[in-house]
Amino acid sequence: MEKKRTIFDYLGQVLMIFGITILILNVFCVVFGENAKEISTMFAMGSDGISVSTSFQFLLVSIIVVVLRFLFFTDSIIKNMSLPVRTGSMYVAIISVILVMNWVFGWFPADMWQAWLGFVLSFIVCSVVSTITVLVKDKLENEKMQDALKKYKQEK
Amino acid sequence: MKISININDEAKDTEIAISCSQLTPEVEKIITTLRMLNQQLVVMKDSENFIIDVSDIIFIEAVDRKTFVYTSKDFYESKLKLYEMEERLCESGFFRASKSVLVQLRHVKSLKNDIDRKIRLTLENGEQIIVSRQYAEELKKRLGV
Repeated sequence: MEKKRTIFDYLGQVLMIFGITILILNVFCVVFGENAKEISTMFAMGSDGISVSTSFQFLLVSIIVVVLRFLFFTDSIIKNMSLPVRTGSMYVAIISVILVMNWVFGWFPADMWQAWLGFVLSFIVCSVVSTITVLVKDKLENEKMQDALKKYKQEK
Repeated sequence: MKISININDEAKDTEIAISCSQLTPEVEKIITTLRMLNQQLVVMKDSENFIIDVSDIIFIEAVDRKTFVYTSKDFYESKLKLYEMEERLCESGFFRASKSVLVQLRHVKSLKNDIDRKIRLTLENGEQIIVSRQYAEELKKRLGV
């Protein structure tokens, strides 16, 4: 029987999202850091990496994403909602959180269209890649279960 | 209760006879258990007793301390509790889908992952049953996935 999820399981999810985000941000720092340090607080240290305050801001984002995931992808709070609506709602919630964070922490200038384009493109790419990954994984697992059921029925 | 066993070399079939002054719930349970060994189940509908084949049962559900047995054609009530059904029927291809439902695997038409690592079953009668996270892993193990 499956063990009940504990706070440490959620902590693990937070640290995984945080780790991947920091890794990507550090790569961005190396590539765009020097050019972006005048316009974004995220790249204030140029190609030297990201600051402690930016790290904590992204830790907060990671926590919020895990909370939203719990909210939309378990039925602890939202009971009856189809998978596409859950996925769409979660993306809308994450975009809203990032917009608020950007406004509070000044990650990129609100009047700079290139920054918005970069943000929208990155978000779309990440969302599409993660959604396709989940759908393909689900499809393969469903096929495997269906085959196992067919085999079980033939044996009985 | 007295139990007598009569071993007779000439007996063609195994026969169990019950003598009682009246049909008490205890006697009914004995009959139900014997029927189950014979892959049959005694169920009720509108105060009338019916004998159905276990293989015809699609799923069994406990609602408000009552146990309901669903076949493709009808549904009935049973005097047995869900855990008693589970004990007796697990060898007949039934599995626990949630705290209140037992499903016969051979009547599952399709199954797919649902949110939060649950599994959604579509049964042959079109009914959908959610296998809770707690029992989803057990089901996968049983199917060898």
